[in-house]
Parts: sequence; C-alpha cells; structure tokens
Amino acid sequence: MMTKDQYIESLRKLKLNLYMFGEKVENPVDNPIIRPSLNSFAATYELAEDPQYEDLMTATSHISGKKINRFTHMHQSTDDLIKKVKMQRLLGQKTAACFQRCVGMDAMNAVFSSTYEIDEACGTKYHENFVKFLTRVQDEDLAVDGAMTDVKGDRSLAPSKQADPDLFLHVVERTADGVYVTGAKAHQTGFVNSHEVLVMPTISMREGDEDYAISFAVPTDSEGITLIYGRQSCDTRKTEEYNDIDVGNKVYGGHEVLVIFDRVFVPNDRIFLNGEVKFAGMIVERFAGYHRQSYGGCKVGVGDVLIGATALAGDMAGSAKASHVKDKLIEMTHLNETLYCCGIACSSQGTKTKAGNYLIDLLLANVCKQNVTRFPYEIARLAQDLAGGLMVTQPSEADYRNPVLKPYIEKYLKGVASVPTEDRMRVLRLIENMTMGTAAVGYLPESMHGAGSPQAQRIMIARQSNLEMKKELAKKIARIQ
Amino acid sequence: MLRCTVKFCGGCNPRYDRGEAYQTVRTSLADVAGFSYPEDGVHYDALLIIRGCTGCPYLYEEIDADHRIIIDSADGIEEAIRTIRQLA
Repeated sequence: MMTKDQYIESLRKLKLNLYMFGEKVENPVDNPIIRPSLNSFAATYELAEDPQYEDLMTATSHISGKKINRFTHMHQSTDDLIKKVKMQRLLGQKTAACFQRCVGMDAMNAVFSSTYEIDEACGTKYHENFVKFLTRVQDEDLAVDGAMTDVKGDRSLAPSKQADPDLFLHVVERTADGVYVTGAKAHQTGFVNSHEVLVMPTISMREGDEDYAISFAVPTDSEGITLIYGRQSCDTRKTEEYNDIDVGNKVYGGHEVLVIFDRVFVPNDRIFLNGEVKFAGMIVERFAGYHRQSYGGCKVGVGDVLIGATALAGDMAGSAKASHVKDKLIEMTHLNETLYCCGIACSSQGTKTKAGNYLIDLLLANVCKQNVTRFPYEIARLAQDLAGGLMVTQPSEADYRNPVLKPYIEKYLKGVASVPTEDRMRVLRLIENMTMGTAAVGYLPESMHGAGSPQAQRIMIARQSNLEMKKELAKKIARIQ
Repeated sequence: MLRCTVKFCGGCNPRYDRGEAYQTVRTSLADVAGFSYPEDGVHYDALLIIRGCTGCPYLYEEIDADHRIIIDSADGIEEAIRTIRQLA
C-alpha cells in the first residue's frame, strides 16, 4: 500500500490540464484552494497505515491475497459491506468533509459484477479487462475517480436524440486498437486527487444509443481531458492573509470538477462496456446502490462533527443545560444515527453477485439515501438554531488580529468566562463552514444530489417495494377473496 | 516477560480513546509484558483486543495467542491490566 506521503508525491507526477478562476493550475498539490481536498483524500492512505484504524481501512484482496486499502477492495461478504460503512463514518469524523475516494470504490464494485454478467450474456471479455485494471489499482494502491453523471442537455431527450451529440459522453471513432470518446462528466468528486478515472454510462439506454453505452478507465491526465474546478461558497477565504479561523476547517475539504473529454483515446483492454445498451442500466443501478449505501456512513461521520461542534457552542455560550438545547442535540443524534442504521441495514442484507463480490440490498440502500436527502438539512438547521446568529455576524479574523479591535472582540464576544473568545469564534466558524461554507457543498447539496437526486431513489423504491405482496397481506387480514 | 500483541477495532465510533487505553496498559505492565503489533507466524502469550464499543464481534482468530483479553470501554482498562498481570 502507498503511504500518505507517497500518495501526495504520486500526484505531483500527474500532468493534469486543470483550470480554476480562468487560469491554468500548474501545481494543484500545493494550491491553497485545492490542498484541503487533497488532505481529505490523503487521510484514506494515512489511516490505513495506523494500527488503530487498519481493521476498517484495509482488507485482504480476493485476487492477490495481499493486504490492500479497503477503497480498492471488492466486498467479499456482508461483513465487508458493513466495514465499508464504518470506515466511511470514521473518515467523515476525521475530516468533517468529503474524502472523495468512495466513488471509485463504488464504481469498481459495480463494474466488477456487471462485466461478469455482460460477458456471460454477450461472450465479451470485459470482466477480464476489468480484473486486469483492478489488479493494478490494488497492487499500486491507486486513487480512482468514478465518473457517471453526464451533463445531459435536454432531459426529455435520449442521448442519441440531443441537439448536440456530445451532451452525453460517447464514442466518436472506433479503431482496431480502441475507441475515441467525447463528452463531459459533471460534478466529479475527487478527480484532481485521482490517478485513474473509471467512466460509466449515466442512464439506462435503448437501441440507437450504442455509442453512448460505454464504460472504460483511463489515466486522469490523458490527452484530451480538461478539468474546470468547481467554485464553492467562501472558497477564497483560504487565500486571505488570515486564513485560519474564518475558514472553519483549515486542514480538510472536498472538491468537484467539470471533466471534458475531447477525443480521448481508450485502448481496447481498458473498455468494460461498448455498445451493449441493455447493460448500461445494470451498471447505473449497481453503482447508484453502492453509492447510496456510502452516504449512510460518510455523512454520518460528518454529522458527528457537526453535532459535537453544536454541543461545544452551547457549552461555550453557557446554554448547555437548557432543556431545549439538550433536546435538539438528542434530535440531531437521532437523525444522524437513523442514517447510520440505514447504511448498516442495507449492508447486512447484502447478497453475493455472480462475479463473487457482494451487493447491498438495493431497496434499503435507496431508503438510506432518501433519508440522506433530508436529515442532514434538519441537522444543519438545528446546528444553526443552537449556534446563534454570531455564527454569521462575528467579525473577521483580520479584525481579531488587529491590536485595536482585538480587546473589543475579546470582551464582547465572550460567552462563559473560562472559555477563550477565540475558541468560541473557531467553533462557530466550523459550524458556518459545515452548514454554509465550503464543507456545506459536501454535507448538504451533495446529500441532496450526490448518488442521485431524491426522485431517482423514489423510482427505485417504487420498483422494489413489492406492493402486490403487501396487497395480498391486507386482503388476507381483511378476509377478501 | 510476557510476549503480548494488540489489535484495535477499526474505530468507527469509539466511546473512549483507544490509543490512550493502549498506552495506559503498556505503561502499567512495562515490568511484566512487552507489547508489539501482530506479525504473521509469531506466537503470543496474550492478545489484547481494544474495541471502541460493545458492538464489535471480532476475536482475530488468525492471531496465535494463548489468551485473549478484551477492552470495550474505559471501565475495562484496569481489569485488563489485572488479568494480564496475573498471567505473568
């Protein structure tokens, strides 16, 4: 496995074609806006080295029998699925941000089982291709971005019917050695911190969409890939002279990018789906299921930090013993642990796929994610309720460092006399960061839309709700023939 | 000296500081037991399992040890120290 330092050094070797604020970024690793997201990703390597966390952070490869990072593992049991969720909660607790590596793990598990079944039905060799790719990922402990979401253009039209054919990523040329693809993937979490990208189709497809039913993996710095870094609220606070208190979370963060593929070449042995339209939906469904399970871990860990920060704010303001404060903290905990229950439940009910890895219970995973589209918002609302208005009205760190203003701020922003005013400012800025600032991107809109927007889960829940059986149950009790 | 090893649960939601607990046990038993992280093919007199909560089921059967001592709360640290000391 790679150490944290080896991972960071490996990123320096990538020649990413990355733009931010209209300019090319020559050194993403040391860029102050990007670095916190790298630190979060690097935590997935760092914790795997620590005996205190290795039981969750590592697994045994079913291919090589070697110890590997769990983020590169094909789940071999329901116990593995449960450990995945626990690992994600742990990393959420340690970073209070999106640590980005889940999407690749979920993509790899989905493509691993899907390619096996595609080969079985179509006589293709995609699974062999994928296992070769996976073996390298495990052996070299690579970071893999999973890319699914196309920009989609007119939602009422199929990929092949769009006015601009590039609005869904597709094959533009086929050669004896491989294919060239063009298109774009939006909202790509962790791409800048990844060595490889595993591309999947974004929706179920029909006849006529063959060029769009494409799955493959290429290096993130492949010729023809351009990245445009996603803007986050309060992002430029990281570049200010005083950039400690006001950023809320100095060390960790997350990122998304728009990834443009302009005639990117994919060699044949890196292709995992190529025109078999009826299997595009299988990959989408499995990836979405795994990723909806993931949110029952990572968001819970981030929620743990937010609950802790809110409780601290109460302690510092002297309001901790008020009954409504205690009750709201209980409510936040109840909501957070409910999400965890869903993550654990869909894992414990997992089943073995034909390829041998384990798939979560899809109904319960979709219920998990549906709750995630709601509960973090309520947890954040309660955090803001208990934090008070000072969270957003307190002076800047620059004011606090001004020798004329500091005594006033120390005096008038003081809560409980024994608590340093600076500590209170720090915890309030953390709550601001997680509910409105850069980390809110990961905790709130990502909870809403990541792994599919709410309606996507409702469609899956409807499909798997087993309504006819429920009707029969009611008929029997009501004595209806 | 007892040859002891230690295994931590993964630490998803620990109720106490597991690292601190380990240091307390090590320091308290420095006169009778030596601790190291588990290695393949090595036999240990005792395996100390430090769980962050009561929900972790693993006994780490792959580790060869005569005794398994479990800590799953801060309250269990002193008892674990007593148990290992009695083995010496």
